[in-house]
Amino acid sequence: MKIKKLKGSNKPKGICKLALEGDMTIYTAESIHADFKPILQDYSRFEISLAGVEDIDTTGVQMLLALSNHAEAEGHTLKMDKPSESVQEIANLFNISKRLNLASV
Amino acid sequence: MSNDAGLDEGAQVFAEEARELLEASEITLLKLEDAPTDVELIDELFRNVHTIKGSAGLFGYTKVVAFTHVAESVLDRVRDGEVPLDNMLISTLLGTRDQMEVLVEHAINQKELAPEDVSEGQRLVALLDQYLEIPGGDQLIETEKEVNDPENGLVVDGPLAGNKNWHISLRFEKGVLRDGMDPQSFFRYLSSLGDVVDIHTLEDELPAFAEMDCLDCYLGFEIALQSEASKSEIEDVFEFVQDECSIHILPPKAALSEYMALIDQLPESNLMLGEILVKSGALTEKELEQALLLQDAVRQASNSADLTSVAPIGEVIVEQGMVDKSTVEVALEKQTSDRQATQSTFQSIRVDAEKLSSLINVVGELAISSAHAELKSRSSGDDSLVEAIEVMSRLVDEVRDSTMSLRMVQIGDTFNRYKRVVRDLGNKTGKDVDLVISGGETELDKVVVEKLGDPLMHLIRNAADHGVESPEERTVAGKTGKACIMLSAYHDSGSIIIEIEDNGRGLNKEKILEKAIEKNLISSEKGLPDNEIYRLIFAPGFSTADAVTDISGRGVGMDVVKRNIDSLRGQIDVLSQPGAGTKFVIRLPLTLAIIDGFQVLVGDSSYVIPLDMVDECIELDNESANRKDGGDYVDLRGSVLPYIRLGQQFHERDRRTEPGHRDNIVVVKYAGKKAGLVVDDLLGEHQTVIKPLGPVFENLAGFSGATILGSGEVAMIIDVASLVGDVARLDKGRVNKAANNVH
Repeated sequence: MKIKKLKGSNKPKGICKLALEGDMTIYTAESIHADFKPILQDYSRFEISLAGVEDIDTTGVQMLLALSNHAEAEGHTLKMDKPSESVQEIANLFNISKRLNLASV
Repeated sequence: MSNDAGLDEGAQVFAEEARELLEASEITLLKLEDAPTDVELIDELFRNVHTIKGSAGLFGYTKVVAFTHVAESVLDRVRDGEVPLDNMLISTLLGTRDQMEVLVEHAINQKELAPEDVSEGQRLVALLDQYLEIPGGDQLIETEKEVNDPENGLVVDGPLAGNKNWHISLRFEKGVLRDGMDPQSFFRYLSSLGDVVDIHTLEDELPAFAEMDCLDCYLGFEIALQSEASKSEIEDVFEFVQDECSIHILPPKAALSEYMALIDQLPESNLMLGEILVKSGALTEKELEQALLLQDAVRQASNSADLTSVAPIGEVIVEQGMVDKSTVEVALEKQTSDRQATQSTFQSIRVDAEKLSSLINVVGELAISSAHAELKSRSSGDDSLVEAIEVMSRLVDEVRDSTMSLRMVQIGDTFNRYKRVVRDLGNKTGKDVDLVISGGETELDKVVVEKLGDPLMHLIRNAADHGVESPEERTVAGKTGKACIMLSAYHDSGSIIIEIEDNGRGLNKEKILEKAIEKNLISSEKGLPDNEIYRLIFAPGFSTADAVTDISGRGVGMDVVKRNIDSLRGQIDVLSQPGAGTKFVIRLPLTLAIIDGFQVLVGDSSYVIPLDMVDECIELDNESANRKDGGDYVDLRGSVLPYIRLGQQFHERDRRTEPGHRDNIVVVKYAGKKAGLVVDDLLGEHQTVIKPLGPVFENLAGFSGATILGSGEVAMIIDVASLVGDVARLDKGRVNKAANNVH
């Protein structure tokens, strides 16, 4: 799993554009979690592209939900877009597409 | 993370279970062929298929589930007596079983199906679908009936919710993800039972991002499911996770009181749950109000009750008749079905083979040291010690015997597999063949049984394909039209004998000779006795079949069969009678782990000869030892007994010049041949655990292993089979000469 910082991400407390690439599963959850923690502190606005997410399971979903909660609690804005097929599939399964504000492609 | 191991283990368990169930299904189907109306067998078959579908669903093997579902539906109708179980259907179901096996194997190995497998699946589904179309009770009406059927305990008192969907509440424990289970797989499976109308994901337990342990499961779910499945079928979806999840399932049109109880039991606030239930369509606003009112009434009732004995709310509900009897009966039904499941699937415990071998190893050494202790106690002259040790060694022997029996399995299960093979081959070749099995209860080492599977399969296929004739040929030859293959197993002096005998046309001696000469296996047919001619079929690359069929006749096989048997320290022989049939006799050692050994001294070293191969011990007199013709043989009651001197063979110190020394001959017998082993001293019986020789010495001829003696010394175990072979070969010429001398 790679978290790619895209162009236009300017520190500090500015906008952060991220692209998630690879798997968001129980195997990668811990490293994703660790990678995200500092990013959350450095920025306040997020745009996360989920186009590159290959495989995602419940741990990944929980993480997305928690990220969205985090943004909400801190008064930040968080936009998740371009969900990959697997993200859409599990979001539909859990009926959380609306909840995550997944702008469908 | 070490979770991949966890996941693999889960899949592993599934694989083992599925294979076992598939095997059991095959046997059941074959039994059903003889007794197509046996309700118990049909039930058993249905349960097996159902369980496979259930566990496959859990692991997300959708292809297995989709296919198995069709079979299950057909079986369900058979069970209900709507579809008769005829031979056609049994054949289809056997094919279905095979296809399930293919699907399961592919799913486990995560491989794509080959195109022919896919088309086979489609063909079978089309066949099965025909049985689903036979008019019978309409499915929908049936479900309706079930809902209102008092016998199913689904008649409810009190106000009912108008909801036509099942309502399922799930709260997972935190560890569920770590244990390799993912809620999404349950939902996917659930959607195979019906239409998931609504899922509401509850994330109240989800902590802030920084605090969450991302491997814990924090989610809960409220699900509305439109399905014609029964409650137990829905419960089965969550069977694997029931210990790690609180599950509440409400049937369609459940009583409001049940919803109320549900709301009460769930951790979230009542109001919120109420809203979710309304949102998911489980309850209308009005029904919710009604339920909450009911709840209040119950509260008040319990408040007004004697304060010293405030009844728990559940009890009050029951007292007030609010929990209807369906809940109780459903619970009872679940218990019964659980018990049935337990009975059918968990009659044995799986133990790591590694653990078992280490236990056997230790117990073997225990037996040795107990024998040693017994010896020492006797020489101490202390009677009470002798007595105590005797009791102990009796117990040790018992422990050893029962430990050994852990490795032993009945060969019947392996035999039964071939029934199907013979049946299918018979159908394919238009022959009427019966497989008669006897001695299925004969036990032998599991390792041996496993390695025996393929060679036996080959021999049986050969017998069915080439051995027996078509009904017409048989009638012409004056035999009964129905051919017969006998498969039997029995014990014979420390060995297991397995025989495969057919009453077919027998081996064609001329053809074998012709072929053998053509393949340069022999130069001429002169002087070869019949059994040697027949043995030529075990030579590599030998096949006499005129036409190569897809069943056998490619010329690979018999040599592989022989090699497999050899690797088990066994022997295979073939007997044949033209026109009457062929018989293969396989002789195998009982176990590979412990033997009763006969300990001898050669030079200064101890050697062990397997006791069951020792025939007798005689003295080597001077006259025979120094025979004028230099031949190494003695006259054993009128017959020639070739011998070898182990001292020379193993380069031990020559003790023949010592004063008072005399040579002893241990007469050993293997597969009908006798030979003498000359040793310096006979030390007696000795229990022996065979320790395999390390890789370095693996190919050392003459030894089958080593053992540790009570004194801690190492003794080599003599491989009698190979030595006897050597003696026989070396001495062939000399023995022939000797035979003339003796007589």
